[in-house]
Amino acid sequence: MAHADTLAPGPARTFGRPTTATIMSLVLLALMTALVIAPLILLFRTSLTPAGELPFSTDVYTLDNYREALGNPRLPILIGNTLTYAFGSVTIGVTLAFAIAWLVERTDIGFKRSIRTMMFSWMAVPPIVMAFGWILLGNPGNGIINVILRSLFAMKGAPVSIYSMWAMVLITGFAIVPTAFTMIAGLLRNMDPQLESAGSVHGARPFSVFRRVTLPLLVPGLLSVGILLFMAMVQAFDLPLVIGLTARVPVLSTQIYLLAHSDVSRPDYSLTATFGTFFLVLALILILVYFRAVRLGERFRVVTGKAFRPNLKPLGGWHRLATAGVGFYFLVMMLPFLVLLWTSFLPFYSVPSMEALSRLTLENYQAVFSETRIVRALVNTILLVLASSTIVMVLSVMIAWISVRSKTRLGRLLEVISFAPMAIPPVVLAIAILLIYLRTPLYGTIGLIILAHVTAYIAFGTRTMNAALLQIHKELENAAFVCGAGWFTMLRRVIFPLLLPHILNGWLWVAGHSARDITFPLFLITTTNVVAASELYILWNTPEIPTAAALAVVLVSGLLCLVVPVQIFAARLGTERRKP
Amino acid sequence: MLSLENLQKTYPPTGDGETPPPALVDLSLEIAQGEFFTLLGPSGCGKSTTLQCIAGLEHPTSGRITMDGRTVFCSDANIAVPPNRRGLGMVFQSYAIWPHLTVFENVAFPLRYGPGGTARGDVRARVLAALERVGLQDFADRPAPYLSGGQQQRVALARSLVNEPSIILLDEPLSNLDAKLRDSMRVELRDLVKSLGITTIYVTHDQTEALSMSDRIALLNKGRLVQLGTPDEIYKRPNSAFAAEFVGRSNILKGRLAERGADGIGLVDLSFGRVACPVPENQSVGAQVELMIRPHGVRAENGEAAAASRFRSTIRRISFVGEFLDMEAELGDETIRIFASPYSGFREGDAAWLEFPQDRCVLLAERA
Repeated sequence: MAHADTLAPGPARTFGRPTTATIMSLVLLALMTALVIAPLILLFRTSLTPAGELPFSTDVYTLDNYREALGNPRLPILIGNTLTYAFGSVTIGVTLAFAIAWLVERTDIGFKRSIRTMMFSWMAVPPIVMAFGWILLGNPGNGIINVILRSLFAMKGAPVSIYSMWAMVLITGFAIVPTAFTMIAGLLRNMDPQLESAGSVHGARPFSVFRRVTLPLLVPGLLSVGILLFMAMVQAFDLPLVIGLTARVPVLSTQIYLLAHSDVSRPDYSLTATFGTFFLVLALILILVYFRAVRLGERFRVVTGKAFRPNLKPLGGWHRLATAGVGFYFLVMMLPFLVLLWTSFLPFYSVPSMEALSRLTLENYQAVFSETRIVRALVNTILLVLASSTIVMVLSVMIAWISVRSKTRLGRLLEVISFAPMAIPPVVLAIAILLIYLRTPLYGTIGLIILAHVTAYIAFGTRTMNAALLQIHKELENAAFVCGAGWFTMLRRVIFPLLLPHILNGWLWVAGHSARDITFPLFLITTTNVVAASELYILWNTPEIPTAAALAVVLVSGLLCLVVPVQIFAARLGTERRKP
Repeated sequence: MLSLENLQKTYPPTGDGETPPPALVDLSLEIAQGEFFTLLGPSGCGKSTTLQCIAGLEHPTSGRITMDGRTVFCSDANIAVPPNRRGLGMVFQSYAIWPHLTVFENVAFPLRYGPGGTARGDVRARVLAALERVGLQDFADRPAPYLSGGQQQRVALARSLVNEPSIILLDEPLSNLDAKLRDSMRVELRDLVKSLGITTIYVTHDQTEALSMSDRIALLNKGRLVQLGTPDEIYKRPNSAFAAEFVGRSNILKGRLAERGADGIGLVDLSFGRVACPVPENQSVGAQVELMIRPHGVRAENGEAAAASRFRSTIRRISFVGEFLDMEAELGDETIRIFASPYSGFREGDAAWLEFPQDRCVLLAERA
């Protein structure tokens, strides 16, 4: 209490020299403003400059771009596509994830630990890799599914096509299941099972308990998970880029990319910035909806003292069916990766056959590890992943402490600014960063992508650290202060070790997302700062499909080697702490 | 009314491959109609498991449970009536008040979704009657999260009583309340269920609650029944060192049984002298025994009143608690804890004459 008071910035409350925490909050505030706010201001300024001009070289303000964008007949189609894509994929993803999470958390289904590990490890598979795998499986020409269907049923043409809105929705829906699973499993685990027991002891049938107790209690949580994912899917760029462009289903994010990377003319940054502003507004509306939903959920929070020991429902006869269903889901998730694995050993892509088996080669892997460009991309990726995740977590711990513990306006402001990137679509942020750094020496270096990723993922980092910090009693820190520790010593010796399992999990999340992201690498691409994900995209479009497949396999294996051991370590650390 | 026969409960090995100790070992209890029956014991003694088994939220590994002559669980006949068909009321430790419903809707739940089917018009009257019983009639329309701990506890009680069950299960219902509220709720809770004539199974680890509320207490430890009896019996005649130490405070003195008389009274040699004490029939003369006496049971006087059965001790420490004087006196090799009247003028270092009235001494069974 006493320490929090000394953080207050008001003149009446400040005695003596400002504390370390106050100084650090000002430093962090300045840093976050430079990272988050400055690019947005420049974005807005650019949307007001005449077409073909850069904001630095003109002082003309015009609304022409807005007129042009609003007058564009394609705008409603774009927004419609974006919303359909997001709504469809989130509905599929949340439904599937809820079913699996319920089976794992509340029934006696087997292989629980494996299911959880698989779900978590899925972070190691970039969506773009999945998309490439699905293209090999389902393209109208030589897609494996089509080849098999044609030979089995003597069909002509393409029975299925990956290049359509519904295929894109389905694939995305499947791809977001692991993320949704983690969140929904948490919801189920945090719900006191006594609430359900109370229903059945007082005479309600199992179905009544589910309908009257379980579901109403989960709805606010499910709603906020759904809206959060909806927001992410509205902003999604990778799958719409790889599948949607060929399918001629443009969404807002891909449209902005096309404007900034036009093949036929000079990029029109002013119009790009204008579309970016529209996109930003849409995302802001969604985040307000999200906050309302979360507040609704808070009302239902129940505080209990006892650790929950959920009573697991015996599945009985349904056991096999449920296990098979979950197994089928994982098989579907594995398929695209298996196809890529197969392709990576071929000199040129062909459908699996005995004849193709004789041509297997390791040449593609040789290429991956010897071609200078690809090797540089791999080195860049390692730099990018380690640097961005570490910087994000260090900043997040400090920002979270200030915003949770100091009830000052400074802390509140810091919290809001660091959460803001959540509402900024990555494409918009990428354009804004491109605009602000285009003329600086940072442009073209891997450092710029690191900076972009730190900005993009700081929101996630501070959110998770906020939540984790709320579980730590303030007295543990105050005890450190009373013992004479300074602010940094307290963070290093008390907060950091206590939060380590959460920090590791957050670090992994950022590392995984930093490695899989293609938005920033593609927008900020030059010859020197290519990373694995952007190199993958270049190889695929060249097309050097077998080399791309080999690079994809290397990327996924590398990430698995990082994600699985660290996750197991973090989980073990967490369980040890809980033992008395 | 409610009988538990030979309940056993073991849990499967945990993920680390360790087999946990059995939660219940051959537990049999017979509970009478309208009885306020308490399951008392330290955490992990199996009291909550027993309650969960009665509720049907967990099932014993083997054994039989009958309610009102109806078998609700039997491992031999493969009967396991689900909790919603047992017709019980229950107050959970966390109260389990549904946060998405109002107070009224919480209490109405058993009437609306439970068996029996209450007519729509009756629901309102019965819910309000139940709320009135716990003094919450003015809170009917309040959303459940806007309740204090004490109010939540009352709502949980109203919900468990509204369907007029013949058995009500209470799982440490007072443990989440503050001390003052706990004192008043003890009396109120007992009066309420007693006035309704409901058979009550009460789980607690708090000896004060157990002693003050119960008709009978079953003291459990490590899944086994240690002692069964009225509060008076449990307190005054504990049958083991565990019972003596878990309920109330005690002096346990090592000694040897020197003699036994025909009237069942024997003489025990302690380190400071001989004390008379009732002796159970199976105890053989010459055996090492433990003699228990409560700190309140020791009679202490500070005058020079020598008598045959009195021993001279020295008071080493006194703390003034208010309601009594908490003293430690040195006697032979033993340190005796004595609770004396706060008005008796003992001082540290004084001599005190101690007497061990034979009806207050208990010979304990040997420690396992």
